[in-house]
Amino acid sequence: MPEILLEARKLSFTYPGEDGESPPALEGIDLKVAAGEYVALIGPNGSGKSTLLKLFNALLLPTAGEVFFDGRSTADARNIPYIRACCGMIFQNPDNQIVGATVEEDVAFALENQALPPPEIRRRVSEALELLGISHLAASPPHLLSGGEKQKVALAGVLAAASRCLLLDEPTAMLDPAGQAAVLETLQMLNRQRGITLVHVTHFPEEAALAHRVLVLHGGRLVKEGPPAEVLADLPLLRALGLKSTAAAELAWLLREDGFPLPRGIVHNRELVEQLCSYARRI
Amino acid sequence: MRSITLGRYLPGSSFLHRLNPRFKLLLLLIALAVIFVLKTYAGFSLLFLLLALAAAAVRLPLRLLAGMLRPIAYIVLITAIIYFFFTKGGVVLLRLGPLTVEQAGLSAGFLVIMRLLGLVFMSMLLTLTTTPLDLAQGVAYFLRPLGRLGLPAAELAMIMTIAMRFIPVVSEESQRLLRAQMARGADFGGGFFSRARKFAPLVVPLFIGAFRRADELALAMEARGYRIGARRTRLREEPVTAADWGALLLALAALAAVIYFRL
Ligand SMILES: Nc1ncnc2c1ncn2[C@@H]1O[C@H](COP(=O)(O)OP(=O)(O)OP(=O)(O)O)[C@@H](O)[C@H]1O
Ligand SMILES: [Mg+2]
Repeated sequence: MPEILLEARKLSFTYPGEDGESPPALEGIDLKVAAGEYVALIGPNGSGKSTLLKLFNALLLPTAGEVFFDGRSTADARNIPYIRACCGMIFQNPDNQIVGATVEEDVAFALENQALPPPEIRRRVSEALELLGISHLAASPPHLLSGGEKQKVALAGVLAAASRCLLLDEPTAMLDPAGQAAVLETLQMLNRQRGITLVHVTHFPEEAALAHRVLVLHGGRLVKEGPPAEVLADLPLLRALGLKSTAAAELAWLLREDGFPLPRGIVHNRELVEQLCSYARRI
Repeated sequence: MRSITLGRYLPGSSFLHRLNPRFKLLLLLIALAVIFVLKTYAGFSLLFLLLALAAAAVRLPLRLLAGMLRPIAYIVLITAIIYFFFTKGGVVLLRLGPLTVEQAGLSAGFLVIMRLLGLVFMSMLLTLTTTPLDLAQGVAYFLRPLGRLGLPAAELAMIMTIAMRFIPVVSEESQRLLRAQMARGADFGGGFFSRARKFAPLVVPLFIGAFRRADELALAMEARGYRIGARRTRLREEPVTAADWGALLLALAALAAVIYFRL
């Protein structure tokens, strides 16, 4: 049994409404994420994805149930410095998460909060900037950057902090295809080589397909979880929620409806191509 | 209103950029003293010559300079006019009905213009060559002794930093709101008062935006481990060099010279 890093037990959360009773944003969530796991979180707008992320690093506290990080409850204020130092978070809107007056200072912010020695901070900052290919922006004021560049700055900030766990809220939503590919590659590298746990909220099925496990939220409830091949191949469910699967899965579904003997669980383009080629060779 | 340059940093590596921010704040204080002691044309010519050299060293673009002086031009002009007409003494130089401009008024007005311009110019040089964070850190350093009296110096520094960081953001947002209104056919022309009245409806969305932004920013700072009262380190612990001490001594010498030679 691998070590559990994140855990939610019977978690429910309701935003304090202006007029008493608003519907809960999350309800009855039971969830475990192992250390080193890569989890994708999908679901329609307003299904509670961002809310769940904020509960994981104690920005929000459960209305009912409990959330644990590394076995420590987020409800205990003494655990919060530890949790925040271990959990890096990228917010959905890159504009309002940048604190520093220059890119460099912003990337250093979390490290300064951990009171690391300045030479160590400098080393890690330039490493992170290099990794994301934004070293040339080090001295720029953040408000002059494009949305995608801001997103990379935010990412560099959590990378520099060398967090054990990254909570990513649509980190590629504002990037161009090249930037998107670079970020996804970086994330996978961090996950594989450094064993960093990833919880990745996304509206792109292609991104969800990269994860080890996909969770589907709907109306604040966890409606399905499993490996991408299982969840992303469940087109009836995704369609009922107004979601889509990867292009390969959608195409495989159509082909199967037309009588092609394709197996279930195709989500990547490569898999579909291989299946079709081997089919062509057989006939 | 086009561009609010207060607290806008001009990246560079000039002599002024490299001075320690704490020393730069001290230099500014001494320079202010110099400005208020100076009273001759020769003295001011010398001061502005020095400031021009500093601006050249910083590679201050003229366009930026003009942009920054424009908003204060009115203040300078109005103050000067008040002095011209209301300080009396000496030869009458100009008579406009009941109003007269006299010798004393002219020189007092001139002094005020020089002082205001010098003041703005020097604070500008400081903010252009020092990042807001460094500046805030420098101010916090001098506030530190007040920490014993319960003043949260580090938190104040953080507040100043963030305020400065968000000035350009909010000013850009106001431009965006303005353009959105104009796209819907609003007309922001007219005289000062009619324009002020037309701008009023923009204030509410601007404030709401600022509050929402503050909320999100607080959340992001918390998520990144910021805690009030916790010990922090800095990316750049500014070193104090011989150049810093040299600059300080030179400034003090200049102040002494200005006083001694009654410049
Ligand atoms: N600050 C808040 N105050 C009150 N209600 C909120 C707040 N933030 C979110 N909600 C509500 O909680 C629910 C879940 O919101 P959440 O932001 O978690 O959705 P999401 O899955 O991230 O959506 P999206 O895909 O649009 O980012 C929504 O119904 C939303 O209206
Ligand atoms: Mg969201």
